[in-house]
This record gives sequence, structure tokens and C-alpha cells, in this order.
Amino acid sequence: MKAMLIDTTRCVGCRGCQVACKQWNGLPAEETVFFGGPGYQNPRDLSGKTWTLITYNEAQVGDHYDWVYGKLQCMHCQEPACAASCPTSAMEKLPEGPVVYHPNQCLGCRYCMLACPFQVIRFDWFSANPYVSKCTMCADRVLSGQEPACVKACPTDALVFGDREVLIAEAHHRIEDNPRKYVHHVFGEHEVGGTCVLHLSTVPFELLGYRSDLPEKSLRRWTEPAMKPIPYIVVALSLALGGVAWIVNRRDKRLVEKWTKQVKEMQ
Amino acid sequence: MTDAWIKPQITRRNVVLYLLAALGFVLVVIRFAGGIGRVSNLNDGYPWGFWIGLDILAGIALAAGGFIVAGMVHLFGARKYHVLARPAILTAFLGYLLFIIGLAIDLGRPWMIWQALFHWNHSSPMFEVSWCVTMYTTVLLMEFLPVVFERFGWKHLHDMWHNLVPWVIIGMLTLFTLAMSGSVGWTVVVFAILLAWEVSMRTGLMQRDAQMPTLLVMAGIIFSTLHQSSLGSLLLIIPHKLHPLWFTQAIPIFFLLSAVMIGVGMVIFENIISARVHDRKPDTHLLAGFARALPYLLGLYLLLKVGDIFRTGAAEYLFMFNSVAIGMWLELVVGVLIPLVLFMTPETRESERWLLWGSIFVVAGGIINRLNTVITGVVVANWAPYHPSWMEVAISLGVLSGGILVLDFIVRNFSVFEDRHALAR
Amino acid sequence: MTNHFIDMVNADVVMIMGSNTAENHPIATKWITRTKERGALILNVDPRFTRTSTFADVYCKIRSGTDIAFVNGMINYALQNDFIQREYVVNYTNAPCIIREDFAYTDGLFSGYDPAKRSYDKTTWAYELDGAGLPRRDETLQHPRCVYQLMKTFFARYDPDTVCRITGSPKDDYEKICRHYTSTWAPDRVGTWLYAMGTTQHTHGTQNIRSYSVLQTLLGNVGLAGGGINALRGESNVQGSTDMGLLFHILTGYLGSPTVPDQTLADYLERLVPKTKDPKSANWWGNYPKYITSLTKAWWGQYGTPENGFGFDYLPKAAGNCSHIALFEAMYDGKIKGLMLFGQNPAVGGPNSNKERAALDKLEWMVAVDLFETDTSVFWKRPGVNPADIKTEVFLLPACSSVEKEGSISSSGRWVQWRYAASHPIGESRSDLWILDALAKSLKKAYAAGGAFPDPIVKLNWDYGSGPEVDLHTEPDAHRVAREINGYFLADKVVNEKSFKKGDQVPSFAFLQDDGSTACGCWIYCGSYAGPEKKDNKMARRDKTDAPNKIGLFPNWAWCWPVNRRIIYNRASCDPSGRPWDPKRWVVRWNAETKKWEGDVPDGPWPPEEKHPFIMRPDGYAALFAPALAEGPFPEHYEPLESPLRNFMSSQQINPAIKLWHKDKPDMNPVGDASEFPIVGTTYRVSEHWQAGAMTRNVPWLCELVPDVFVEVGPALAKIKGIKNGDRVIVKSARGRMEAYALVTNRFQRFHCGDQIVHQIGIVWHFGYAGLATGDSANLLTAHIGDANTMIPEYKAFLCDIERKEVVPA
Repeated sequence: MKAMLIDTTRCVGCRGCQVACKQWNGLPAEETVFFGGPGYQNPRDLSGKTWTLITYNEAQVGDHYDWVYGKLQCMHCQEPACAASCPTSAMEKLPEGPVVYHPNQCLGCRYCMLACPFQVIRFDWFSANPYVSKCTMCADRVLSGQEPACVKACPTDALVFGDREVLIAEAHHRIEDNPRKYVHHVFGEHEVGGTCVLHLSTVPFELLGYRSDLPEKSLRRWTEPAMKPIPYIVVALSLALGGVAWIVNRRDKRLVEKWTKQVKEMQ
Repeated sequence: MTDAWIKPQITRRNVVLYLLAALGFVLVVIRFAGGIGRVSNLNDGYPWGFWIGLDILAGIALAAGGFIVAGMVHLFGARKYHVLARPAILTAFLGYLLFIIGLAIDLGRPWMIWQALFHWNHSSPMFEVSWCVTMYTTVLLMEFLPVVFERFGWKHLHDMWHNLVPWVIIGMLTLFTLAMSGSVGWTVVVFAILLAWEVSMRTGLMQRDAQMPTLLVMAGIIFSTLHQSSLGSLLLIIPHKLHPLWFTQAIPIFFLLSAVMIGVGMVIFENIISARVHDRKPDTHLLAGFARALPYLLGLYLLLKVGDIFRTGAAEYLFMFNSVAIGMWLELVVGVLIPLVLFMTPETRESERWLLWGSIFVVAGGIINRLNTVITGVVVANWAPYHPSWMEVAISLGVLSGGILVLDFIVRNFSVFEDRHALAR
Repeated sequence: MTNHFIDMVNADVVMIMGSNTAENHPIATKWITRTKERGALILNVDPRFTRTSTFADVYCKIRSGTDIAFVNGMINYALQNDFIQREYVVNYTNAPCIIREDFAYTDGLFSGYDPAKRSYDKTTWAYELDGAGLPRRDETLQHPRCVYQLMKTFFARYDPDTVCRITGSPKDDYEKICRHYTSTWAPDRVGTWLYAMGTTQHTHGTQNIRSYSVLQTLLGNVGLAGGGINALRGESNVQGSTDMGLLFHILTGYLGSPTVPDQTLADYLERLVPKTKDPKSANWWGNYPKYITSLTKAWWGQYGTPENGFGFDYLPKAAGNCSHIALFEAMYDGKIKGLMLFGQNPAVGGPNSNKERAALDKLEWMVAVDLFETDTSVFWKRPGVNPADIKTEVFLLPACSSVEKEGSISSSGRWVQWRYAASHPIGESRSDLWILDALAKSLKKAYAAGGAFPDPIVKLNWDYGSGPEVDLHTEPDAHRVAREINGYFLADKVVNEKSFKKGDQVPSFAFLQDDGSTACGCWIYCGSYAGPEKKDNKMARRDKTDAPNKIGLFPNWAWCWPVNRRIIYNRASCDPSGRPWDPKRWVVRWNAETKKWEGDVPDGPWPPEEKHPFIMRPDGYAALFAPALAEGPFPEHYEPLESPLRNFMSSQQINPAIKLWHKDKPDMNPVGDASEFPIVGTTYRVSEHWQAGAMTRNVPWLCELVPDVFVEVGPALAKIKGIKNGDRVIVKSARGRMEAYALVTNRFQRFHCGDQIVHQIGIVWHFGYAGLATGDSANLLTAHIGDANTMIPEYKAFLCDIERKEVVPA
């Protein structure tokens, strides 16, 4: 399975990835004014037109000021909650890694957005024919053996693309080589069952806008116990209710017969 | 026999309903022309809100009376409540239609709903809910059809209905099992069981209910059990967002149990209100008997809920002063504790006034609970909290008002409350 | 750059000063972050905590315009602690050379200053010569007048307290920078020094760089892998444009422009060809006659005869200064009638834009060649003017973009890389080459009918394969241009025992002749296209194999001037016997058995002891003492033209050698003082926009990222001025005012300069009134004042004031 490693210590905030994403995916620009967040961040947030976003975060690291960048985008979970939750399979996890969206199957129910632990799916709130949208890991490129557009554009190798296992090993190597530089955690290795986008950082991940309290188990592990028993319930209820009907109706029939007999006797 | 039609009229009593329905209609037009964002405060952090909470989660629970009463009367043999059956089924049917309208408003692309029939995702509770709801609405329609046949005196159609419905149900449940499990094995088993029951009935080996095909009632109970609980399962995928006071692996059971409570409460509430509106005297004694089940249900719910809160270690949150704790206390006190006291006391249970109030508390508590699970209890990190806009509320109220007006029309024109068995006999 | 981009991975310490590498050269940061991961230290000195600072190990703030004080302090630190590579300094630099007795320095001035002319008589800035005419040397460095001892005295004045008082740097950070950087004096430690426009755009920009070179030379970092003085050029092909002589004072290959006194080739050569009596000095510029002759022969071919100096007589002879500021002053004075702009947008990018825009108003005609309507091409309808009042006739020729044409591009690392057209030009847009070719052909035709001195045009050698007529659909052949730049033989000739036929390409500049038998468009590019076929185009090479020394030279990737030498002065990377100072990352080494150099292309084939390594210097030594520049042989701190502080070093407040435009041309050239404008202003770019914005402010994706002009303001100043993040503010200088958004940020901190507090703000300068994203240009504030040597404008330090714009309630 392919994955992307984002080493925020190598990122210089040039946002080539952000533009490359729009270029490859044919996404239009957003109308912005001044800056939409701390530092030079723009637009303010991910949207149907912006699938990846560099965030500029101010931090006090030890005694000195620092300015660290984060990259928001779909994390391409190994067991994605969006794909587990979609009633029409409009979200699909490909074996190669990307989680892709089939817009023509989408109802617009937004259950995927509710389910997403990373809060990356966006909806066209002001469209009469709305879709949801998110990064596709440039699945079209990945399936033809290329790296995603953002990775291709990154000048500093802050983004690298490859096999997930290899990248996880690489991430741990980097932490071991520079134990004082990095937070000792590969974000995405275990979160919600592991993701195909992995992050390394010098500052706690919360500062970059990521949640550090996500469970290690994939979210579909919670719904599975509720979904698995359905056929058992159908069978059990069919048997039980039929049995009840049998007993009740037999009792009723006997009662009617008894009454009829009593009535006849009385007559 | 055909009575003259009583046409809908705008009166001093219902003018507000017409106004609300009209406002709702205008807002719905705006929503479909310009997108959901034009009329709601829903956003990317809070994609679900008031509509899902009220129209769908609460709405479906309110309509649970249909399967409860139909099951009690036509399957469990509590025939003395048969007068409650038709109103309950009608209310449920209309409730589900309203739910479908509400869903169509909330879905971004409702015209694609048929996609769920072709792209099966067995792991999605939403997939199950959509199938169950479609199936159960069909069941409710079939359960209500005799009333229509009566109104127009279509006896041969009624007979045909009697004959065909079991086969339709066998088909539906079999297809449903295949869709849910994707397994031919399970499908065959379900098909065989249902076929066995129907064949036994047709061969006289087994008795059948005179008015309602047994399989139809069974299907109603099966679908309702499944989707009332799986509306709760919908929330299982958000352990990271739903507050621990509500998030528990047992949430489907709580949804099912509370749906039964709310359904019972709703039947009582609706009977009394309907009687008052149509200047009839409600059968307080009958309703009180029906309400006897409530203390058990409420008590069980309270026990399980409190026990579960302690089991998951969320109890500490109960004793904080914040919107979450207030929300939880509100739904427990209003929806469970107060009605528990009211319905446990025989004097209040036999009084029409307290019956009404008790049922109002149960229903209100149920609605609060459902709204809590998608609004108050959902906390998205790094996102400004969501509050419904007035237009969201107005659309829901408009749809509800329209539903009440339709219900009123049907009640006036069809034999819903005066149960005319003569035709069937 | 003496080195190149990939070579940064070889550095142990990377100093980034006067450059926001991450912002303006994001690709370069790839190599810096890579060397950082190898364990190298990254040091960053900048007025503002930038995107570059985020990956620096040590960041030290510095008040704009005080680089020399900062670096002179570092030089002092190295000299006082003897953190210099003594063997390198003694053998390869002029540190041991003894300077004339009458050379002196007093209170900010060197000997020979003429205040009336604001210039120096440099006679005293010279070596004391021995009987043979060679500089006298003391290799023990003890002679009181040897360069080393003069330096010790001179730089001692830059003690840490004085330096930090001037620069406003925190002393801790400053000392950390000194300590870490001077650690590269050790032969097996190398530091690279990166700079850009933050260094150059000052009235003492050239001396800023001088101070860097002095330090780098003392530490023995020049010529080594991972070392050098590395200018990150401001545009992708600006290296190519200077190589090709686009500046006013040079022809191609850095040959000087002829001036009025150079009436004949002999006069010109007499002025420019350096001489030496030292047999160990290669004095490469001694080949000057071959290069200038081959150039004029390339331009006029058969019409370049010995009688007209092989065409030298056809070259225009410049009278006076023709730099950007001077041209616009002349334009403002009505002395220039017409203007052609190729991809230039002075209405935004020129200093003192109000004056430059007013100067455009006085033109009779203007031709702009650009991809989009630029602010300059629509200057006649800019805000605040009535188009009816402007009589200038304006033409806009649509140019195609870089990916729509074939040709070469020269990177800062001197690599010349061939590019192919990826698609056809849109509409009727054409390449610059097509437009120039059409212009030249039309001019030739026009002058054939007669005119003032028509020969240089009519006889111009001009054949690039597009036929005699101007044809919209025939693109001139870029390969013909490239082959002419490389050079070819005009006659059968035997050179260095090799025989060539007329028409053969010249294999390298060692074969160029001064007898008119060779033509060469740019001598340093000789060898780039060494044969007649397209396969001989070395600029198009794409071989990724590294050289045997494995230091990332990649000698068969593209081509690098001169003669594919990837690191220049590389003979200095070895000790005098030819052994590398650091064998782990050797650049070249002498193989005593084969009697040849190995590794990179060496600076000449001679055995190590035979020639000094700095072959472009007349004496062969790196110049710690350099008489070439206008201000003096050592860099000395002067304040910017506009500064809130007096010069703590001397009574000379500003660079004594700069031309004072506000004195010469007072109209629209006011200078502000600190009582009215107490805040230091500086200007810079962001990654998301390009230069004056013509290309990027028309790209919606980029406008989305940075939609508006903004001013970065520190929290202390913001508090004083009552400015909040996102407020609209007015910034004023003596020359103009502009409106912008305020970005209040911790990245700008006030400076404590002694007991004075200095506030600084920074403005992005990409904006103007044309394009999708518009805003006021920061250059409305900057001044017509330039460096004493290059005339580069002082964009980086000026005085201004800022206030919150009161929002009038609707």
C-alpha cells in the first residue's frame, strides 16, 4: 500500500504543493482577502476548491520563537471511516492506498463528514447540486505509477511517496537519527487503525491542528458489532414472532371454540 | 359506501399550521435553489444538525407507535387495543413520509437515493437505515391500505391485498437479508422460515389473524427493531466526536428501547389530542391500560442508562456545569424521571390530564435525547459550536405542520378512529 | 556563485544572510535541509524571522543596512582568536603583501578622498613593490604594513559591543553566529555563504559582499566543496542575462563596456587588460584581447577588419552612467524619447515609483514586450492620471512564456541548461528571439536606406535561419544563436597543435584568437556547443552520473561556465603541493604520476606549484585588500542614506563614494529624516509572487495565496501605533505613501541599538494597479539612490512612518 510521508521539519512553507494540487485536479482559485489565518495561511480552510492547505503555526519552542507549518489533507486511512459509513459506497479505499470519491454515487448525506476523524471532507453548501470533496491522493497518478502532484512539486522533499512500510521505517530512522529534533511519534502510524499519510514534527501535533487523542482502533470497529448481527436478528425475529403468532392464534382459536361451545351449551 | 368528502378548511384553529407550512415551503424552495448553506447553519465541522436530530432521529422514534400497536394487536393478541391500531399505523405512515421529505431536504442530492439499492455497503449503518426505512414505509402503506379500500368500498381489492401481501413481504425480507449480509446462505434461511410460516397458515396448520396478514406485522416489527436501533448505530462511528455521556457501544439498544417508550407515549398523546380536536371523549381507561407498560420501560431504560454511564466512566461529566451535562439531565429528568413518577402512580395514570402530560414528557424527553446526540453531544475539536438557524427550525416546523394538516384531512375522511370491522367481517 | 546549488550538501555550516532562501529560492532549500540532516548547522541573519529562519539552528536579527558591521565583527572575531586557516591565507591571499606607506585610514575615510568629486584617488591603495616589480611579502605576517596586520588593526574597532549597538542584534545570538561560523577555519570544516538581494540592495551592497568574501577567504572556504560565496540570483535566468551583458557597464562575458575615452581597441585594451610581472600568476584576464576581438568578429564578421579594430569601432561608447536610476532621471528630464521594455515593469519594480511613473509620462513612445498587461504598459491609465494628458504612444507586444520557446537558461550556479518548447505560443504571442530578430531585420532594412552612421546596423552579422523577411510563422533557430555564442573559426587555423577548418566550432576559450580568425558571442560560454550538430549541444546533456570524487558535481548534466568547471578557484581546495585540504570531499587533486589534475575541471592545467590558484586576479592572490571598489580596500560600515541612527563608527554618516541624486536632481527626490520618519522600512518578496507581479498577479491560484499587499509590523510597534492584525494602514516616506494590510507578527522584533530603540517594518513589493490582485507598490516609498559600484538601488533600508487608516463610517 502506498503512502505519503510529510516531514514538517523539511517544509519551508512555499505552498508549491497547494498550487500543484489545484493545477492537477483542475480546482479553481478561491477569492481571498488578506490572510485567512496565522502567518500567511490562505484560504482559511479546506474546501471543495482546496483539497490541501498549508497551515502556519506560531509556537514557542523552549526559549525561542518558531514558526511551523502543517499540511492539511485527507489522511487516507487504512480503514477509512468515510468508506465504512457511506450508504452508497461513494467513498472507496483502493488497495494501492488512495481513498477515492465516486461523485455520481453520492447522496450528499454527509455521514462521511461526520465520521471523518480528521475533519477533512468538505461539502458544497451553496450549490443546488452539491458534492463532497477531498484529496484523492491523485489516485489517477498513483494508479499509473506516479507520485501525487503535491509530492512531485515539493522542492525540499518534505513530502515523499512510497510503500507504507518503507516510509514508516524511514520515519523511525529519522527520529532515531535526530532524537532531539523530532517529537517521538509518527502521526498516522497507528491513529484510527493507521493512515496512508504520515507526519513527522518538531512540535506537538496539536500545535499543527491535529488531534492527539484519536483511538488506535479503526472507527469501523465500533459499528461492526452493530452491523454483523443483522441477519441473526432477522432470523431470530422471524422464528420468534412466527412462534408467538402460532401460540397466540392457537390460544385465540381455542378461546373462540370454547366460547362457541359455551354459547351453544347456553342455547 | 362513499361519504361526502370533508374538504380542508382554513379555520381559526389551524391557520397557524397553514402559515408555518407555507413558510416552510418557501424556505424549502430556497434550499433547493441555492443550496443547504442558504437556509442552515450546518457547516463542514457540523454536517449534521437540527434536521437529522428532529426530522430523522426523533421523527422515526415518534412513529414507533405503529409497529408497537400493530404488533400488540395483531400478533401478541392484545386485541382490546385494536382501536389504537389504525391511528397508530396512520401516524406512523405519515411520520415516515414526513421523515422522507425531511431527509430529501437534508440530503444534498436526494434524487440519487436509488443509488443505495445498487451500491451495497454492508458496513454502513446508514445503508441499513435507508433500506429498513424504505421497506418499513412500504409495510406501513400496506398496513394502511385496508382503510383506503374501506373508504371506497373496494372489497375485491381488499381480498387481493390479503392474498398477495405475504408474498410481497417474503420477497422484501429475503431481498433485505441479501442486501444486508451479502450472503446467499442467510437469504435462503430467511426465505425458508418465512415460506414455512406462510405455507403453514395457508394449509391451515397454523391460525392467522383475520384482519392483518401475520407476515406483514412481523415484517413491521423486524424492520422497526433493526432501524430504530441502527439509527443509534449511526453514531457509533464517532467515538471521537460524541460526548462520552452518550457514546457507548450500547447506543443501538438505548435507541430501540427509547423508541418504544416514545412510541407508546406518542400513541397516548395523539389519541387524547385527536379526541379533543374532534370533540370526542378519549377512552382514558384503555389508554391507562396501555400506559401500564411505560413504568417498566422507563425504569429499565433509567437503570441501563445510569448503569452504562458508570460503566463507561462518564459519570463525572454529569456533575459539571456545562451544556452537555444540562442536556443529559434535561433528557433524563423530562423524558424518564418525571413520567416514571407519573405513570407509576395509578391516580395520575387514570387521569386524562396527567396521561396527556405524562406522554408529553416522554415525547419531549425523547426529542431532547435525539437532538442531544447530534447537536449538544457532538463536539468537534477546533471548530466553533453549531446552533441551528431559525430557517432550519422553520423548515422542520413547516413540514410537521403540513403533516398534521394531512393527518387531519385523512382522519376526517377515512375511518381511522371509528373502527369499522363490518366490512372485514 | 563560486559553487552551485547541489554543492550546499557538502557544507558543515551554512550561513544565510541577506537572503530569504526558503521564500525566494525554495528549490535551494532542498540541499540545505539535506545538509542539515547530515548534521550541518544552519545560521540565519535577517531583520525578520522568515520562512528561512524556521529551519535555521541559530537565528540572529539584524537592523537593515548593517551587514558590514556584523560581518566585520565576525572577521575581527576570527582574527583575534586566530580562527583563520593560516596556510591558505599565507599562500593564496594577499595577506602577506605589504601595502604602501602612504596608505591610511582615518575616521571613515581611506587615503585619497576627494569630497568634491565624492570619489577616491586610489594610487595609495597599492602594494609596495620589490625590484622585480613584484609585491613585497612577509609570509610570517608580522610586518606592520602587511595586509594581515592592517586588517587586525582595522577590524579591531568592530568589537562585539560596538557591533551589536549598530546592528541591534542580541549579543548572545551574535556571538553564537561568530563562534559557529568561524569554526570552519579548520581545513576539514567548510562553510558556505549564501546571499541575495538583502545584501546587494544597499548603498554599500558591493562592500557587503566584500565583507563576506574577506571572511570566507580568511577561513579558507573559497574553492572548496561546500564553501564559496554564493549569490542566489533574484530571477531564474538573471545569471544568463548578466553573462550576456545585459547590464550597462559590461558586454558579454563580463568584458567592460567601451566608454568615450576608449576610442580605439588599443585604448580600450590599455585601460582594461591587467598586467603582472609574477611568472606564477596566470593572470587569465591577460587574454582580454582574444575575447573582445572574437566578440566583435561574431557581431560584424567579415566587416570586422584590423582597420576598424575587428569591429570595435562599431561598438557604441558610453558617455557617463547608464544605470537604471540614471536612465529614469534622464527620462524625467525629457532627454530620452523612447523606451523598450522586455519583461520589465519599472512602474512597480523601480525605486521611487512615483518619479519613474512620472518619467514614463514624458516619453514619446514606449514598447512593452510582456506576457500580460503590466503596470508599466498601462501607466497612462494608472490611478490618479488622466489618459488624455499623456501623449506617449504605447505598444504592447505579446510575448510567449518560457515553456513555449526553446533556449538555454543559466542558473545561479552557472549551469546552462537547455530547454525545449513544451507547447506552441498562444495566439500571436512570440518568443523574445522572434521579436528581436524581427526588430533587427526591420532596422537593417530601414538603415539600408541611409541614416546616421548606418554601418554598425547594416553590416551587422545577422542570420538565425528565419529568412530575410519578417514572417510571423518562422521562428528563428535558437541553436544558431547558441552556436554563435559558443564561437567558430572564421578561417582555417592551427591552434595549440590542433588544426581547425573555417566554420568549425571552437572547442574552448583557450582556442580563441585575437587576430580575427575566431568569432565568439560570449567567451565564457565557449565550449557549450562545441560541434555543428544538435548532439554537440552540451547544455542539453542529462546524464546523472557523478564525478569520481562523489561530491555532487554531475559533470555531464547540462554544462557549466567556464569550461564546465563546477566549482571555481578549485585549485585553492588543495594545499600548495596539490593535496586536498579535506580528502573526504576533494574537488580536485594533483596526480603526481600522470602529472594531471583529477576531479573537477581545474582552474588551469599547470602543476600545483607553478601558478597561484586565483587565476582571475592579476597577482593570482585572493584579495583581502582590494583596491578595485569605489569605497575602499576594506569594507567599512556606513549607515544607509536614510537611517534613524548616526554612524557609530565614524563621522562619515553614509557611503562617501555614492552619487547623491537628491543633490544633483532634487526634483521628486526628497530624503527623509528620523524626526519625521522614525521607522526603518524594508521591502521583500514572498514565494507566491514573482518580482513586480506581472506573471503571478494574473494567476488566480497565486492571488488566492497572497491576495493583497501587506506590511509586517512587530508587536511593540503595533501597540504604540494602535494597529491590530488585519487593519488597513498607511505607510509614508519622504517620497510617497501607500496603503496596505497590517500583519502584526512576532517575526518582527524591535532593535535595541545602544540606548535607542529602532522599529522596523517590512513590505512586500509585488503589487501594483494592473492584474487580478492589485495594491499599492512598496516602491512608492523607496529612493533614487544606488550602490557606489553597481548603482543597484537601496530598496532594503529607508525611513518611513506607519499609521492605522481610520475607517470612515459609511
